[in-house]
Amino acid sequence: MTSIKVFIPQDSASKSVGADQVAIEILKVAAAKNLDIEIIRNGSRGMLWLEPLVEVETKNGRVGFGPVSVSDVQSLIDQDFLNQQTHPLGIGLVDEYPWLKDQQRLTFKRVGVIDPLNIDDYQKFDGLLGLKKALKLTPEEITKLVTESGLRGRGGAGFPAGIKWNTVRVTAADQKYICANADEGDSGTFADRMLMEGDPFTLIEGMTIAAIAVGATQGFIYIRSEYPDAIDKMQTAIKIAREFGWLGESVLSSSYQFDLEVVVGAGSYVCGEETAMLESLEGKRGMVRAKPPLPAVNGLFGKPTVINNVLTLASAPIILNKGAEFYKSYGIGRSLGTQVFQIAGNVKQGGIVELAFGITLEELLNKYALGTHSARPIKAVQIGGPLGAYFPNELFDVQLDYESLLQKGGMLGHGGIVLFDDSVDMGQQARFAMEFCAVESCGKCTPCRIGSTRGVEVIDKILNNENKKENLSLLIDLCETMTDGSLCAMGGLTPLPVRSALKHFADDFGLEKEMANVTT
Amino acid sequence: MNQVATGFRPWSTQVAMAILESKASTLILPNLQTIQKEFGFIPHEAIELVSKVCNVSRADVHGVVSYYTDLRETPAAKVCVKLCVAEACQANGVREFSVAAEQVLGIKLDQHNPGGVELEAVYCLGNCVLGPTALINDTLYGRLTTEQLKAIVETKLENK
Repeated sequence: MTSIKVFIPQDSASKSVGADQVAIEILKVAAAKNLDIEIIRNGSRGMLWLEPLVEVETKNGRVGFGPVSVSDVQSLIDQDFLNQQTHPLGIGLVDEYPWLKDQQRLTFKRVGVIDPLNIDDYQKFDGLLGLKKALKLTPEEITKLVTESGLRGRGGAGFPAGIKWNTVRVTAADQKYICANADEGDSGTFADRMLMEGDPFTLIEGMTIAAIAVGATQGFIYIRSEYPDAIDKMQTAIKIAREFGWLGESVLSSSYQFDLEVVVGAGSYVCGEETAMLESLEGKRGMVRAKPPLPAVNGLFGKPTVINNVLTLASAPIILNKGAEFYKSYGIGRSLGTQVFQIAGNVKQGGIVELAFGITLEELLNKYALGTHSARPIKAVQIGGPLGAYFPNELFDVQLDYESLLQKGGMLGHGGIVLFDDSVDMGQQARFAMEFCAVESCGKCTPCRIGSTRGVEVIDKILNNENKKENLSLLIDLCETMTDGSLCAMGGLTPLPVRSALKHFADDFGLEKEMANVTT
Repeated sequence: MNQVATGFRPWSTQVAMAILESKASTLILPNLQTIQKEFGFIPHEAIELVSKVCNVSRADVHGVVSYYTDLRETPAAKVCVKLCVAEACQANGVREFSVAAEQVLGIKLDQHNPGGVELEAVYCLGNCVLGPTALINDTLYGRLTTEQLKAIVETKLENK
């Protein structure tokens, strides 16, 4: 008799609520009953309110139970969950679970499904097909295909990936680099982390495709130090990929050479900005560089460099495998393909929702989030991380794509959606945006370095009822200076949450709506 | 008693030099990270050492040390609590939680504390659905309560 396969995530979010302890307990209780089980530590399916989500393989598919705590294990075993597949914590067949069933998982196809470091699993679920296809194409054909797919940068700026790749391709140099930006510092975002922990080979495959396309032989994955598990998984995956000849002097026995290295950050938010990341990769203070020159021409150590977000690079394999037409059949307008939304904060059902661009915020909230964890009404939703705008209920019909969000005074950023209930004080949230900028500013340009500190002070004065009108116009003036005068998005976008809070939640600043509106 | 993080080597210039030479990097940050990993912090002497290895001025090295929040010039406390205070955790009540955490641990956020525990504010640990969340000596905890926090810290303090 073959042993029953039991899947327990090793994702760090799942571990943070006890997945390791549950795995140990299941092993212990099963051993005591002489049950023959095999535990596989998969990534997370992204249904984080159900973590730890334990899955049992059956002939009809995998059946889920969650959230499981150590104290539930005995009753699960007593009720023979391995064979009967029923228990109060049961959610039935995981693939049929409504939250998951209608998602369009392209980038996250394997996350939570496979054993992250198992190369057979990876290939069984279409792994390496994109790279194999790329090896049959010329570099020019690859960049053309990626351009045609409409893939845009998932880090926030939304620059067409194929055009970036092509710029590096046509720039002559003795050395070129591929850098994956895994400095996922935006609060409310965790998709890069979950992909690296749950399906690290996809990133390796995507970076290798990029390397072949542009003629790079060395790549770096810059991972923030706050992600120790992702660092471990990526390092191990790179080692395995080297052993099997996926990386190294001859990628899959081709004439292409490519190798990868993980570089660990040191606790600086602004190092997620591409030029600051280059400085940090060079071992220096993470100070933003002025552009031009573009990193595609003059990047790491002065060499042409592709810098893409993890999700951008991880989208390349499926684009190569299934073609540009397939990929751009998802999405709308100039936002093509799928977006990995991360629903977070005070949310009843938070996690990863990968869908084609164009769903509205309202649909996402009604179909997936299902309200707040605290069961109080939603007051505001921040889209796009700490530099993204706060949206009030009246604007929940906004379509989630690059252009629509821009029109409504927001931005998509890295796709983080953070819910706040009615206990939130938006004056304090606006103040925090400035405070965060003051803490994390690299200090190179004055509007960001000084402006953020002045921003905290002037918001405090408004909240303390000191010369409200004058201080409000000072704040607006300051926001304009920061927007127009900052070198990078850190100072340039910090006014976004501040102004959106002022505009939509004037009450929380003790302001008349009209007064706040005049100035925003 | 001043309880500091365990598991690190005592400072030795020779040992440090040998380790840096074995790594053969001429970049400032990776060398500093190597020093901190081995010795737990970056002593004054290490700055001179790294400046030689990288062929840069001590000011350049110090500039990097002071820039990155991870790099520290004094030994870490035995138990380090890195509490996420960013937006998604604010939505889950971390503003109130951090005040309560200060009370149960008897220390202040982001202040040097010789008692063996430090509480540091960090911005996002990528656990944005399960806040409040904290990294405690490199282990991530989600849906944290102050009672849990206290128990975890006490256990880690007692461990040798």
